[in-house]
This record gives sequence, C-alpha cells and structure tokens, in this order.
Amino acid sequence: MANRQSGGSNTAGGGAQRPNGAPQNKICQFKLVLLGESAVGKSSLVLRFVKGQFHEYQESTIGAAFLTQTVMLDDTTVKFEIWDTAGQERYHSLAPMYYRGAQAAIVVYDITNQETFARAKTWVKELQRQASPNIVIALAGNKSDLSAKRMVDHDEAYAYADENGLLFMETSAKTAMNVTDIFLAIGMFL
Amino acid sequence: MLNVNKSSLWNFRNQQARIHSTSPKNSQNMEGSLSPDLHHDCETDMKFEQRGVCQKFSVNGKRRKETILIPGHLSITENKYGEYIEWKPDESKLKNGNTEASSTSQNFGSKYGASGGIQFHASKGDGRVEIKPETSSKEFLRPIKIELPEIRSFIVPPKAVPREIIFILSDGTTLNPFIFERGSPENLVIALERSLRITKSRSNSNGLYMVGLRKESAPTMPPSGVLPQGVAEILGVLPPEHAHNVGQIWGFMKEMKNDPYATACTTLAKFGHMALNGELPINVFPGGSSHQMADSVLRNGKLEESLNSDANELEADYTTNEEGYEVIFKPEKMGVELPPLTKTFRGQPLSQEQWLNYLDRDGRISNMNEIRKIVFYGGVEPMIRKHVWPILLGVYDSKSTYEERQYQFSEKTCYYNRMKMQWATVSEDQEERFSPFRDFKSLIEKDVSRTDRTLDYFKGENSRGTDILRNILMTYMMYNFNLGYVQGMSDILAPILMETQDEILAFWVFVKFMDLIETNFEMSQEGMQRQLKDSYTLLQLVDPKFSAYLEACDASNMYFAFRWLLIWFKREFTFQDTLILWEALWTGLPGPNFHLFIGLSILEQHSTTIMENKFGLSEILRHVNDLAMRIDLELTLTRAEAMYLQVSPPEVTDKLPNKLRVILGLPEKEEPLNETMEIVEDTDGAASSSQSTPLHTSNAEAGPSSSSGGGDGVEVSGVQRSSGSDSSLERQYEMGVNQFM
Ligand SMILES: Nc1nc2c(ncn2[C@@H]2O[C@H](COP(=O)(O)OP(=O)(O)OP(=O)(O)O)[C@@H](O)[C@H]2O)c(=O)[nH]1
Ligand SMILES: [Mg+2]
Repeated sequence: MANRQSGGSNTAGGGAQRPNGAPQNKICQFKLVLLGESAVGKSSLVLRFVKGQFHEYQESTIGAAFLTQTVMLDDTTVKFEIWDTAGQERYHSLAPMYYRGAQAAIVVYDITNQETFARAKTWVKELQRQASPNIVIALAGNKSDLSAKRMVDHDEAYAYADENGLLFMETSAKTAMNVTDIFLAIGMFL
Repeated sequence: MLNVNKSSLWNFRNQQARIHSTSPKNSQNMEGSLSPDLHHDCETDMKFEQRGVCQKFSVNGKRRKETILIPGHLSITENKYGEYIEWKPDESKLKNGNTEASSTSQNFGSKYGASGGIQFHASKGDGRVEIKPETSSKEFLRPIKIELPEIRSFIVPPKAVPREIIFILSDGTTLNPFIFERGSPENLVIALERSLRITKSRSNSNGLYMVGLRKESAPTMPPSGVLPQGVAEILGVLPPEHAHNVGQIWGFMKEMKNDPYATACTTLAKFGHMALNGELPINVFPGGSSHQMADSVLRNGKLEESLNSDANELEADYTTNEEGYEVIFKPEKMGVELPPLTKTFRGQPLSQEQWLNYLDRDGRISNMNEIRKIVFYGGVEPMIRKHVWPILLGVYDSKSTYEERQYQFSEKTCYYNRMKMQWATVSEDQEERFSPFRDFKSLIEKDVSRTDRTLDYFKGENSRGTDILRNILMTYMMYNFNLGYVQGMSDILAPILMETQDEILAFWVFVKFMDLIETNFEMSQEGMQRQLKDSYTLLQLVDPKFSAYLEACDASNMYFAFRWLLIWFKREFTFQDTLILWEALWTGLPGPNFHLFIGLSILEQHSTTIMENKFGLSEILRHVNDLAMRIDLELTLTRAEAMYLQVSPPEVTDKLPNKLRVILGLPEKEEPLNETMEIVEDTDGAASSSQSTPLHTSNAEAGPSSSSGGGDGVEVSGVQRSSGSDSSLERQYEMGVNQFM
C-alpha cells in the first residue's frame, strides 16, 4: 500500500523505523488563519476539521486559538498550523498579528446572513492589501445546511470569488460537508 | 492524520473526498466524512498494556469543578507504520451501562479506587450526581491514539494520589491526565523508555520529563519547534571553553545570515545541547524544518537585534554540573534585588455571622477595611453574596442604612425597568433605521445563545437564564450606549447572574464591575494593550529569565494572556472559583493591578514547562488555552499575593523606574533615576508616562499621603497572615482601599 500510515506532525520522526522503505516523503507545513465575522462558524470549522466534532453551543473565541492537523496527500505530508481568531469588529486590531506570515487564509461568512458576506469581502480586501503577497485565500460560505434561510446567493459568491482569484466552497461545520475539502484544496494549492 | 488520495480530490466541489483518518491524534475522527482506520489488515503488536487507567476530564460544573473519570486501558502498540500510545475506554463496563456516579472532590481520596464503571462525579458535598451517559458521554468516550514521536514531554506529579501521568504533545497540546487505578505510571515510563529517550527535566520538582527519540531512530528532520535532540549529540556539544563566552554563541548565530541552513545544522547544533536542556532562554527554532528554523531566526527581528546588540550586554553566568552547562541569565544590570517570596495563606470566606457583626443596628458597616481583608483572603459565603457584593462594589455606600439601601434599590429597580422598556419597545420598523442598535442587538443574540450553555441554568431552548442574560445585556446597552455590547461581556455577566439569580441585582452589580473593566472593551483596545504591556514589564522584574524567553520567541506582547485579562480569567476557572477570584480582585487589595499578578502567578507555575518544552509562540498560546479548568486557584492567589508583596516594599519600589511605579500605583519619581533597572524601552513610551491600567486612576491621585498610613497592624480574625507581610502590606491595603473611596 502506498499510503504511509505514520501520523502526527513530526512525521519524519519515525522514518528510520519504517520497514517498507518508502521513498522519503515530502513534508510541508503552513500557517493558515481563519477570518470572518463573529458567529459565522470559524471555530466550528476548525473543530470539525481537527477533531471531527461539532458543538451546537460552541463558545465565542476570545483572543485566538491555535490548532494543528496533519494530512497525507498522496506522498506529501501536509501539516496545517491553524490560527482561529475572534470575529468581532472590536478585536480587529489583533488580526494582523495572526495573518502576518500566513500562507493561507479562510475567510468565512454565514450564508444565512448577508452582512457577514459583506464583512468577508472587506477581509479579503485587507488580506490582499496587507498580508503576504502570495497568500492563498479561500472563501467559505458556512452553514450550508441552513439553506432554507439562505440570504447569500451561491452564484453571486462564486462570481465574487472567481473575480478575486479565491478558492470557494459552501461548507457546513454541522454536517461536515466540504469542511475537510476546503482545507485540503488549500493544501493542494500550495 | 488524514490520508487522502489526490486524484479523488480534483472533484472536491461535487463529491466528498475519500479521506481516511489514520492520524493517531485523530483516530477520534470517526464522524462525518472521516472513516475509521482502514488498515484492519495491519498487524499490531501490543508492547505494553495496563488496564484500569482512567482518563480524567475536568469540566465547569454547576458549583465547582466536576471531574469525570472514564475507565479504560492504556497500551503501547506497534504496527509497521510506527509506535503508538493508545487509550481506549473500557467497552465491557460501558456495555453494562454502569454509569454510577461517584462523588469525590478535586483531590481524589480513597473514595476513588473502588468502584468500577464510569465515574461521573460532581462534587457537591456528599451528593451523588448522575450525568446521563447519552447526553454527555460521547465526547468523553473517544479513544486516543498518539504516535510516540508526537510526545514532547510528560508530567508525573510526584504527590498525586492516585498516580497520574499527563502528556504534552509537540504542538503544545496538553492531554487529559491518565489516572492509574491499577499499575503505576512508572511501569508505563519504563515501557516507553524502550523507544524513547527520557530525561528528567532540570528542575524536576514538578515531575516533568522530557522526551526525545532514541538515537537509532533519530529523525532526519526535526519535529516542529524542536531542535532535533539527536543532532546536538551527534555533532557534539559546544566545547566548554566556548561555553564561557556567550558572545561567541551569538557570533555563531550571526553567521547564519550567510548560510542559514548549513549554519543551523552545524554551528547551532553545537550549542544545541544547551538549548535543548532549556538553559538558553530562547526558543531558537520556533518554526518547523531546519530551513524554517534558520528562516525564522533571521526573520525574527527581535532575535537578530539581540544578536547584534545584546550579546555584550547580557551578563550570563555559567555553572557547570554533571549534566552539562547551566546558563543562568543573571541580569545584573536590569536587576533590582527582590526579597524572597514570603509564604502567604488563604483564609475562610466571610461568614454570615461575621457579616452581621460588622453591621450596626441601622445596617451601617462599621469596618469596611476589615471586611475587604477577609474577602480578599477567603471570598464570601455564597449565602450572603447578594448582600456583600453590592457594598463591595459600591452599588451602595458602606455607610448607608438598611432603609436607605431599600429606598435606593426601589429607585434602581424603576430605573432598570425604564431602560428595559426602552429597548423592548423598539419596533422592527424602527430597528431598520437604527443600525447601531440593531448591530448591538444582533451581537447580543449571537453571544447569549452560546454563553455557558452546558450549565443547567443556561441549558435548553430559551432557558430562563438565557432570557435574563439577554435582558440584562440589552438593558446595559441602553444604560451605556457608548459602549453598547462587546464580546466578552456575556462571560462577565453569566457567573454573576447565575449566582444571584436576580435580574435587577445582577444588573447593578454588573454595572459596577463593568466600571472597573470598561477600558478592556474600548474600541481602541488601548486598555488591553496597556495591560498586556504592563504584564510584560512586571514579568521582566519578577522573572527576567522567562521574560527573556518570551522575548526570544516573539511572545513578549503577551497576546496569549488576552483572554485572561479581558474577562478576568472567567474562562480559566469554574464559576465558583471565578467568583472567589473576582471577590478578591473587587477588594482592591493588596494594591492596584493585582489582577496582572494573577496572570504572572499562573505563568510562573508553567514557565518551566514552557521553557523546557521549548514552546514557541503558537505552542505557548495552545498551552495557555489548554490550562482552562486546570489551574489551582488557591495556589494562584497565594503566589500572586506573595509576588505582589515581593515587589512592593519601599526598598524595592524606591529603585523601580517610573514605568513600574506607575503600574504599582505609586507616584512617579521626579528626578531622573540612575536607572537601576533597565527595561527594554518600548517604541511607544506612552504607557509609562500617562495613566496606566484602569485600576490605577484613583490611586495615582491618592499619592504619597495614602501610603504613609501603614503599620497599624490590624488583626483580623479568620485571616492568617505570615509575619513577613508587615507594614508594606498595610500600606498596600490602604492604597487598595483608597481606590474605592
Ligand atoms: N447550522 C449550523 N450552525 C453552525 C455551523 N457552523 C457553526 N454553527 C453555529 O454557529 C455558532 C457560531 O459558531 P462559531 O464556530 O463559534 O463561530 P465563530 O466564527 O468562531 O465565532 P467567533 O469566535 O465569535 O468569531 C455556533 O452556535 C455554532 O454551533 C453550521 O455549519 N451549521
Ligand atoms: Mg470562534
């Protein structure tokens, strides 16, 4: 089997022990930051991706949280270092310190709330202006399970993402739809 | 780790990628799109197994910390991909539906060992509290599987009964403790030693052990954030003669500019041994691979700066012992000799009897200062909190009579109801044209629905607690529309509301509390910035080594303490502990900015762990966030007080630069000091010259006159104090008290 089942962040760590003599894997590691209005589901997306869990009453993030997840993409080990930030406008001034040096960002909005989409756009602008120039930005329209209450049109968001060269997916931290995918899409892009 | 087949991903937009969860860390990922371990065929060797090992969860219980013990077994396994440590819940016991709850307090006594089954316990005196497994057990029953090289260190607390072990992973994660109902951690450690190189930490008093890979399996690439232990050994440690010249080390580092990668791998490794053992107070390699390490060393302007300028300044003192070199940064130039820490004690909470004794016939309080001291040392008995809080916080004057208070309360009730009517009568139509109102309202909605919802009082759709929480926050918005609502405020209110269960009283207590911390929520965030900066300044005074460490890993902005300071540690402790802490802080004792010392005290308890694990910026944040519900409040409070007393005697404060004097609420000195303490000057010196944190204001005004009244030696029953806390303590009391006058 081609897949190597080693795990953890320091995959090379056990290299010498591996009997199957697989060629040395590529390892890449990158910093990813989540941005977006409060309560759009940033922490929920991370929790889903990293632990496979969902909490209905996920508490608001104060300051920031740091989590890691390691993924095997064929023969490459990709380690995500994820910074989850607080969404409220008031704490905006902290954000630059978190997206500084990030290779990727996921800007999240809530498909049931038009204002969060507007806010996502300003985040994208800010990143394009101030983050590192070749940062990969993904746009996530979260809470896609609540399509009955949809306020942000899929095609509109898609068109916006297209114009701005963003990866785009509608996600649901609740049902797990597209959650791992959006992270991996970024991973592959890099 | 997730295993993914790339080709299947190209269609990610239309279909779920095939993802196999094979990560040790994420073998828990058995929901959603992640399928469990698919390598059934893979042969697994059991190298060690111990039954009767519980995983211990600490959760915020209704009244205090609830500890949940899930029985299971711990094993070390090996398959062709690697070696793992695994914990699995005990299926047989679960199937029996044995969910008997047993009661123990935070220290598990003898009650602990006997009963099997899932020990959901809530320590409510003697009460046995049952937590229905279907509601809460799911997340407690996840198996754990960690690849051995993931382990960075572990702690075996020497005094814990029953014995336990706590693993710390390379990304800074702290696992829940494993409690040995049978067997002992030592047996596990012996088994681990077959695969891992385990060394006692230098300052082993806390039972910390560092983990490295055995030489034969030394990694070709280092694990994240760690200098590869093997490399240093293979390449040899820095020769002793070099070790005596710290400048040379810095010199080596400068070379990295020319050929970062090679230099990182060779030269640096030479003194890696010292760094490895935690003697060098820097995390040389906060990044990942050697390339990144080198990179980050270069990118890190601060470090580079210190290479160029500080090399000669830093006075390092080396002592050699059997284990190698110990580098102690003896910051002689910066140092103000601090007296040793005195031992401080906690006391009993203010009882109803004591309280009534302090009230005269009409309800006036005879000696508010004594009450403050008792509350500072022991908190307030829950029964009388409703009466004590409003006075402690100044909702009512301590000289008011029962009658006056009653009258004021009825006035405050009317006022509250009036403001409540104001928002309650804003029609949807009005809202449309009232966007600031609408924005605050929507923020409140978002937060109310996710504030402490696991606690009974706030549980369920539209629980009573949640409704009242919303009412009070909406009313506060009308009371103080300039501030309105800011995230974090619901956290401040929730414990107060749950304890008083009285909408109007909780509101006015909340108002007074907010007066103390309003600057935390300002738009400019200046208040927070200032407190973070002040914390670092204090840290430079009380723990220069750790402050240098933080500086070196770019963490001197102390952002990891943001949550602590914003909501006064509410997320770090259970409600009961939070309230005891807040009560202490509300007294204003022993002086201004004591809340910053709470943070320092917590840090001090973990600085060794952080430095020896060589955590970088992100891992420190992770570690600090993981401390929630694991911090010992009594220890934290007593150490914080001891630290405060350490820096506040006149012999010390006389030598302090103004920057520190201001933080301690002392008047600035006029004549320029011959700087006895050289604190790295910040780019913006604003904080030191202007008023510092919110709690200073009145103290700075009180000035020297207030500091002369010490030495009265007031003895308070129920308050134990060490003989060391003498007149300076009294002085601090007076000052602290003054801020409320
Ligand atoms: N229905 C649904 N609810 C979701 C989804 N993702 C998150 N939520 C809920 O939305 C609320 C907010 O989620 P969070 O993950 O805390 O949001 P956040 O963006 O991290 O918010 P801040 O930390 O305040 O910035 C929580 O109550 C979640 O349960 C989703 O995909 N579907
Ligand atoms: Mg969040």
